Amino acid sequence: MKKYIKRIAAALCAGIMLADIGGTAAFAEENGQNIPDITIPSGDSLEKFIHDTDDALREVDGNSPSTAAAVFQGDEILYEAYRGCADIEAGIPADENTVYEWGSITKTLTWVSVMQLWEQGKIDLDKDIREYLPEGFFHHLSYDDKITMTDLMNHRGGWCETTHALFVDDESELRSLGDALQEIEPAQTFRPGEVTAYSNYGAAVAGYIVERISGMDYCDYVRQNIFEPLGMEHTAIGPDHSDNEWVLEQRRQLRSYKSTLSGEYADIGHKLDFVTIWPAGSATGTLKDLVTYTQAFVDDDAPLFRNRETQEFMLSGSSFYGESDVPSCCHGLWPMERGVRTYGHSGGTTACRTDMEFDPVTKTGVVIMQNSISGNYAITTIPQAFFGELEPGKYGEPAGKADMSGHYVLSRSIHSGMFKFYGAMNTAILNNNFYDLGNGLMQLKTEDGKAAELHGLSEYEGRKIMQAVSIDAIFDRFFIPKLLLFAGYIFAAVISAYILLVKIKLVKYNRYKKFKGSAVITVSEILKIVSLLILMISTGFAISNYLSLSDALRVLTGVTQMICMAVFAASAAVSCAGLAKKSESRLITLGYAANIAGSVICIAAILFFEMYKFWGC
Amino acid sequence: MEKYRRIINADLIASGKRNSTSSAMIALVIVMLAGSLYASPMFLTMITFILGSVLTTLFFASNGYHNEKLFCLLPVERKDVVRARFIFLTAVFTAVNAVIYIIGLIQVKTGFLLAAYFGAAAAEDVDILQYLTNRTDILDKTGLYNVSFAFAFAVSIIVMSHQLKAYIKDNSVYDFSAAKKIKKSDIIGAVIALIIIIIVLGDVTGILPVGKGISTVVLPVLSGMLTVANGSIFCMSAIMIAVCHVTFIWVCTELNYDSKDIQ
Repeated sequence: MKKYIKRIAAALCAGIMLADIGGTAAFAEENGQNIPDITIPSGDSLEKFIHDTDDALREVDGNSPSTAAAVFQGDEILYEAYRGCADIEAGIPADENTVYEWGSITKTLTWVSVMQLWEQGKIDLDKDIREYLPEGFFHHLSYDDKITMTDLMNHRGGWCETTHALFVDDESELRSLGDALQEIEPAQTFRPGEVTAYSNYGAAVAGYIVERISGMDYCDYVRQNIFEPLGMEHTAIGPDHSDNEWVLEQRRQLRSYKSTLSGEYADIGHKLDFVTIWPAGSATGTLKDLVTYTQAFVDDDAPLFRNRETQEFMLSGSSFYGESDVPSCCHGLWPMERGVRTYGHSGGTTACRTDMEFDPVTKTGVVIMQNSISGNYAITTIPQAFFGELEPGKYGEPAGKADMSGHYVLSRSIHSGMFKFYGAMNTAILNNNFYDLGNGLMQLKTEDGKAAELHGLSEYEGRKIMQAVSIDAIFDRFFIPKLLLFAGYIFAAVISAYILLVKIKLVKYNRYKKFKGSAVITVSEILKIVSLLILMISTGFAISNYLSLSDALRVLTGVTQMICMAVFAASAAVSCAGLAKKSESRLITLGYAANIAGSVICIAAILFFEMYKFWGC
Repeated sequence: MEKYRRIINADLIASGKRNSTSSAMIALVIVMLAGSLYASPMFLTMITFILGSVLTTLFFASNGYHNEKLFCLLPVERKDVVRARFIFLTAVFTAVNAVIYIIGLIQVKTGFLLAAYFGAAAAEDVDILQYLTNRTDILDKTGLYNVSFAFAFAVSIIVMSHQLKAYIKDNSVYDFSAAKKIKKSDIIGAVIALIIIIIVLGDVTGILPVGKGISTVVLPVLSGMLTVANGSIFCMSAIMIAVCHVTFIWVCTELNYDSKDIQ
């Protein structure tokens, strides 16, 4: 009996082992390769990483938007997966022919183009870019300081965000690159070279400079100098994808999705939008093509450039955290401090999310593409799982905690024009877990203390800055007065509404007694409400349209605010005259005083937050 | 002020003779105060809501002809009756809430939770303040308590003022035996509800994203007010809005009640 039990047990064990090997073999067969026995940068084995990633992606199925992911080392693809659907309703699964929008990864094409021209001696990275642009190209510069190509790569041109449309859904609205840049020019709110404020505009200007220096259309230049040498036949760069008919056809089949509160995915349609300033984010292509492009950065033959030294120079720091030698930007590529230092860029459009990262030392890389605008955990966890996390203490032991208390304004926001309140009110409060490593370097530990993030600590015009890769947070010492002013503007409208309701009641019961200036004051009260309402309505439309506003609504809002200001001033003047004459009724005197206060607050808010400014930015 | 005091006295005496309504009100206040000893600080905001919702009802229930009787008894004007009622209820409500607030604040500051001491079932909830505070860097325990209480106080005093207005305007509102007919206020309420539905649908469909605009403009300000001075600005703003609203309701009630005499 024992003998039989032993034999059955042995057979079972053998069966399990064979099934396991068979499973692995099945996996290997499915991917057409055996899993190499290598250790990935995180310290795990590749097999464990693949196993964990496959497990994590198991829930991305026929009812989910797609995730396409690949991992490579050198020119070898170690892992490639297509999960989910390009079109859930039609049941079209994602595969190697599915195309995704690169989003801002496109900017790296611009930076590579710039470096190619630099390599050829056609551009000086430290020269004022105005020398490469038509005379009087910029109209909203606030500083005379030169803006260099290096500043553009570091997103330190000083521009804030704009409310002009970055995406349009009608290709007939596309203009020439130069015209589009002139139309969309944002305000320059920071001194060039000092604050990192991610700027699509800056990257697009760089693309325009590539056009002017090369004498070629930007799209033609990229195709000839990047796509063709690398054999990227399934990627388009034109804003309407017309430069690659195959890509256009594939793109028309892709639908996009966003996650809902219930955890399901809402179909938001094809979202075939067109980038108005295309060097900032118009590339669209397959996973394999993006992998090919990323592999070029780790290739010792430097296929993107004439010389390997150019590639090495591109991967060297162009801006740094504080006074340290830790780079915050490498000529347009973002250095990420993980278990190893990686370089890359992420991207997001109205339809897709993408990420590319590579380690030139181990010659490994990760590329992820998704047709969901919410993205999913894969886009953050896969690179982290592959490259590992930054160990606390890698850049030294902290001297102590860094005092980062207070309100911080994000550099990448609207700091000028009629939505200036948006940038001013949406401040960040940094937590108190920043540790000072010295030389302007700070470490932010995760909750469990096992990993960290690096940030920089610097100063801008006497104000503390918390530096990150593409955005700075600037200490705002005047946040409270700004908040009180904007809150006062809202409260003035609310109180005016109550006063008007009381007046309506008094009129209804024949109790309303007119007094000197009552008509103007009543109109002023109505316009306080109108001013707030039109701000809310235009903000609502802007929020729904990626913070962009139509010209008609922009003009309507601005002109309305101007009229409101004029009426507020008139009513304040009338109230002052009324106060001077000393009314018999205490209530009327109180009314005059309240009207003056409310009008002054509203005028101050409209002027300070530039709510009238429908032109320019 | 003397005439208001007489009206309030008359109210209490008159209702006391007829039934135990005012006694019930006093009992409710006592129960609320006692409950504040038993409840965790965050739960005190619920007590505020209950008090605001019930106070007017309890005081004026089944006093169908109370107002007319008072008018005959005392040499006061109709508007004085309204003012007295508003002053009295607002004062009682504010005073009781002040006591409840202080009881809660002492517990928050000292860390000595009375509910835990009394071994109440609510004691499981006693640490909710700590739980919420652990999840945000914006407010500490005191700030979170102040903000919650101020918001609850503002909302409930507004509710109370509306109930008082409804009673004074039409004292059959608390006569539960009377059949409720559709009035103009019901129509106005329905219109407001319709506007809210339109705003929500406008946001969902993207045709008229007013809701998004409102939230984008207002929420950062609210958030900002929470982060400054440990929520003090938010508290002051909430109370200020409540004062404006109650004053407005008071004026409306006075106008409406006063006009009945003329008719």
